[in-house]
Amino acid sequence: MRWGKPEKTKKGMVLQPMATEKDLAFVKFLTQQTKSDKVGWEPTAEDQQFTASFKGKYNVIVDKSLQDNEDFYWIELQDAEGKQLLVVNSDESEQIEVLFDLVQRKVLNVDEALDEIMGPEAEITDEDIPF
Amino acid sequence: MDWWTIVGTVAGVVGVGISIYLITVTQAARDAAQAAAQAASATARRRDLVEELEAASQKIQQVGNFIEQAEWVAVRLRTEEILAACKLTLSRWPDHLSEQAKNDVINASRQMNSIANQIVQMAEVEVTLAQKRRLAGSQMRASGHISSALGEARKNEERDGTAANGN
Repeated sequence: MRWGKPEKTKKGMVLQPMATEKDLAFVKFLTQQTKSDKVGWEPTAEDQQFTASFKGKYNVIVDKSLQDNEDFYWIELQDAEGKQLLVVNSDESEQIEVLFDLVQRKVLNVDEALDEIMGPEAEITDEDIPF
Repeated sequence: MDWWTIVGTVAGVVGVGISIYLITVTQAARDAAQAAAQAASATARRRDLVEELEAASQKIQQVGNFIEQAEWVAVRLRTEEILAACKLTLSRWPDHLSEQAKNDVINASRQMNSIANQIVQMAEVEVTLAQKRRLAGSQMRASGHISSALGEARKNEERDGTAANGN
């Protein structure tokens, strides 16, 4: 767990004390908005990192990196000047990993690729769902 | 009451009326002049915004060339200049761009920041083809964002210029 004094990761992110309920609600909000295609995520020059801006004032980064040979996920909220406002990592919320995978899937257009390969015959109908 | 008194009273009333009229006219003229000066100032500021974004756009193109030629010091210097231009744009002209255009500037800024971060990390190791592709992709996205913001700024400038000429 990462408590107390912020520490720097390999990508220069400063880790903050434990996330609040509002922070976790924000992660959930991002996930829902991403599912609804309401967030314009795009990759950055850094490996496994995506970014999106909001309200003409804020920027969010979602990132996957390796820490102690394990996948480590985090999101960072910045203001327009690049000042860090919030960091939530996968130790604090498992939702971050879900968000990252979702963002990656959206950015890479995975669903469109699958639809294109499988064609209209492969569309899942209510009858295909057993319950 | 003798007629001199009547003439004096009428003259006084007329004088007061003329004074009030002159004050009103002067105030209206001053307000009009102030409005014109503010409009001219806004147009001038918007022209500066267009120039700032044009300069940033040109520098992003240069970053693309420098990435191609693997001139990393030049890439780092240009990205820093573009970051400064993005910050200036957002802090100096926040009311002259739409929310989407400001998002574009922030996104461009983020892309440049990520390029700068990568350059620092790459200083110690040889650059892989995948890294170079990511840098080029990031530069292209930043270019697209700044072009969108620039397009909006130019459109606003032209619209305001047309309105000013029509007045």
